[in-house]
Amino acid sequence: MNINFFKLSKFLNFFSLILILISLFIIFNNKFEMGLEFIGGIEIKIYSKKNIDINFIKNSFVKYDGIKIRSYGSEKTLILKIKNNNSIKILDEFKNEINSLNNINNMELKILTMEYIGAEINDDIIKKSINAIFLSIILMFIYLILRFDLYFALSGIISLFHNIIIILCIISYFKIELNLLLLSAIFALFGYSVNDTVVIFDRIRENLNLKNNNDITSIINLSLNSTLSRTIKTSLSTILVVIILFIFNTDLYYFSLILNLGIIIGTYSSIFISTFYIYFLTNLKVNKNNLKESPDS
Amino acid sequence: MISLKYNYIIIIVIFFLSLFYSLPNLLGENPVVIINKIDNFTDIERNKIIDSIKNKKNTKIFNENNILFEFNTIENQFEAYNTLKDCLPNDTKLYLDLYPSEYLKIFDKIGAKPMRFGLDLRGGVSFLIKIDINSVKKNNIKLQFNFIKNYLKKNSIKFDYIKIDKNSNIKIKLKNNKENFYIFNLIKNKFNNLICIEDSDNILSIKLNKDEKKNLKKNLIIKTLSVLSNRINELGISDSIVHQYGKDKIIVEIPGIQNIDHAKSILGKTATLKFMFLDTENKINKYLDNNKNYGSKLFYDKNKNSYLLKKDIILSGDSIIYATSGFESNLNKPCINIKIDKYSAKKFEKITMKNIGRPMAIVYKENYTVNNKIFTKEHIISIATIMNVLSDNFQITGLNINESKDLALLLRSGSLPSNISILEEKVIGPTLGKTNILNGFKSFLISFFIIVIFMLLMYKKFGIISFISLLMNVLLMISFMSILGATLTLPGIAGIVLTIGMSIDANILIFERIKEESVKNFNINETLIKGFNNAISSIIDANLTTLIIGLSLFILAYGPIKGFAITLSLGIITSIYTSIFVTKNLLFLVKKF
Repeated sequence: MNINFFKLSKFLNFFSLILILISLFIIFNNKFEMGLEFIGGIEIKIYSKKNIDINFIKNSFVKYDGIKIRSYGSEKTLILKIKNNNSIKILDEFKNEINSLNNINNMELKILTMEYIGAEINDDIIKKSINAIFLSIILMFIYLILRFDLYFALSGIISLFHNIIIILCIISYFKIELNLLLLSAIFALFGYSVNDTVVIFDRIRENLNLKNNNDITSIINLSLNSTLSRTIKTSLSTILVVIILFIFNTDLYYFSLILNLGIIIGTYSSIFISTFYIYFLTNLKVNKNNLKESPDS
Repeated sequence: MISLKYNYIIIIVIFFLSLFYSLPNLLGENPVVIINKIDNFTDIERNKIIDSIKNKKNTKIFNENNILFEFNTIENQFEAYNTLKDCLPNDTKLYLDLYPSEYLKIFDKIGAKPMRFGLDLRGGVSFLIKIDINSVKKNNIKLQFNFIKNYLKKNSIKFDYIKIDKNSNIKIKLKNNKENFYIFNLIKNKFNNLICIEDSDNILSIKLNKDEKKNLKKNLIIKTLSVLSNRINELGISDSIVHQYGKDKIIVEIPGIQNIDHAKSILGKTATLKFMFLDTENKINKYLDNNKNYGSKLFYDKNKNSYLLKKDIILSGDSIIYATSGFESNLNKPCINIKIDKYSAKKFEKITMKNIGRPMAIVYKENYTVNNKIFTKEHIISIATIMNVLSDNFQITGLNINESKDLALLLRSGSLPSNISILEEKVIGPTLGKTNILNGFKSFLISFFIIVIFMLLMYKKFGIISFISLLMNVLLMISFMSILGATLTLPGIAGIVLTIGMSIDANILIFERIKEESVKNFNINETLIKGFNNAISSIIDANLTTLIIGLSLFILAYGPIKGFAITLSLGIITSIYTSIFVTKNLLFLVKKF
């Protein structure tokens, strides 16, 4: 098998660049639908053996400002949510409200989970999240520099950012709630994205040492071709298990959805984006050196 | 060849060990209610207890001092707990717990136990509690402030002002700047925890030094942690988790329980006692009329009778190291037996010796929070004349049985060093937990077999190797988690499933390399060795980068998500072993067929 990936690379990188710009635009416009952990509030999940009339519930809770009620997984489970509310008392009020619905209207509602998150905690979690994100990117960068070199490291990190920005755009565009669980999916994608790329890098380095061929494009092409089978099979195996998570666990719906999208994007970027930047950055260096040498000669 | 033989032995031993340590997870634990100190009961009473919860499906086990009722569901356990609570005498200790099922006991002996389930799988309550560090700092500086002020007055050093500014620094401006050295010396000699700086305009600024601030914080958190876990234990809940999160927060996880009102009220209570002298010199009416400060303050008892008490506190609740409720020997009234620490005992002895015959009041003080604002309520529980010298052990009366019991519990578990507020409260019902376990288990099994089928389709007989190494990987993960006592949560299960999908990557890398080599090479041995060796570097790179992420996530996460970080990181470590060691040795076995 010998596919000329590099032929596509230039076009796809241009395409990705535009995609990133659009993504950033969408993110800045739409912002994120932040989860309770980040802004505080109350969430209650209720369940009934029979289908719940969502409009009836909505009417009973209409007096609470900013309450959102939607079904979760099926008609039998509902989520009631108020964001930005700092009163733990509402939790008790909700409990009473649900009890009275049960007593007066025979609704047979059961509280599955109740959650109150005060506003004070947010700063801490946001700070910790940002710290953890920076820490992991820096550690990853250092690891790549130590194991490869600066150009490989930069290329790896560029493709990492590429993946994350597109994923964040999807989250922002479809107003998927960005909570701690989703954030950990994004973290897993950090890992996956570099994991996928690093194997290709490994092969490029191996081929660079093996062959005296200075043509980086042909080395990248060769390496991509020989790792292609692995790249596809590993992505496939991971996608398979995440699909199973997606099917069976309602609580992991968005978590696995985002993971799967991220794996697909990560596979694409490790083939086309990260390798292109190795070529691009090495060329830049070569050109610079040529410029330096030319006045003397 | 000899070394290979040893390798197989190691692999087989590790396999059986991990199998053995994973097995308890299949057998599981049953919810139980434990009644302590059963030998105090008569046979009739025992039978009554057993009858009262007959209809809830249970089995009973008698130990030397306990009866243990085992239930098949948490709902039954909880119902029985409530029934028992109503029919048993007040001072009986009831515990909710999980107990290993019969088969498990053999495993229990060698330390093999099932994984802990997180609240999202098991149901229960969790609180995130914030400690009020600032108020403790403020109180501390207030004490120093009073001392310094008294010192200045005593030595008749004149000052323009002495105050505490909004940053909790003591600011002093002396009339005569030359006397500043008094303060410097005082701080140097008496307070090694304070530092004093002279500002440009001759204002002295005194604050806690860095070490003191750090110590204060550290002690505060340690004390709060221990008080909270004491209280939970005293409430009869075992298997709870209390640990620090972040700088000033504490997580309390109480599994199994849904009705949390009583637990919640006890957890955050800052009830304590203080001992004060009755002011016999000033009349209450006068105090009320003039509203003048005589160094005394008005207090009420439960019947709304008012008394004037001297403001100085003779003994405060902080000095109490142990308390039990009981009955006083003379009048058979409910009482609390109190033991105070040595240092306070000496002081208390001196004071009471000097003041025999003088009436002393015992004041109950409680802080409570409404809408994040702290309120205090105080009332007198008894007034008694000091009859003889009191030292480290004494009794107080004036409360009814339940009040004595609750207060003794609070005093015994220690008073909270600061007010706490609940930042987060989660209640997860047991039904949801059950669905989550079932779905999690399903997705685990199915993904395992799908990956095995996938590998068999892709690599034929090499797929068998993948099956074995994947099985070992999963068993190792589960046994490690069981041994380490890590908590399994729903995201944690997701981490295991994800590991199944991702760890197979190592096998794919090796097999692909072998495929490549087999084109160039005709010697099978060489093909296998070369293929494997070429893949190692990539395997390590790929795994270590993911490990970096797993560990970073570990820092951020709390609650269920921590489970994801744990399983992800652990899965990487075990998969490095299975992919490098197990797969390598199995490759040479396959070669023979």
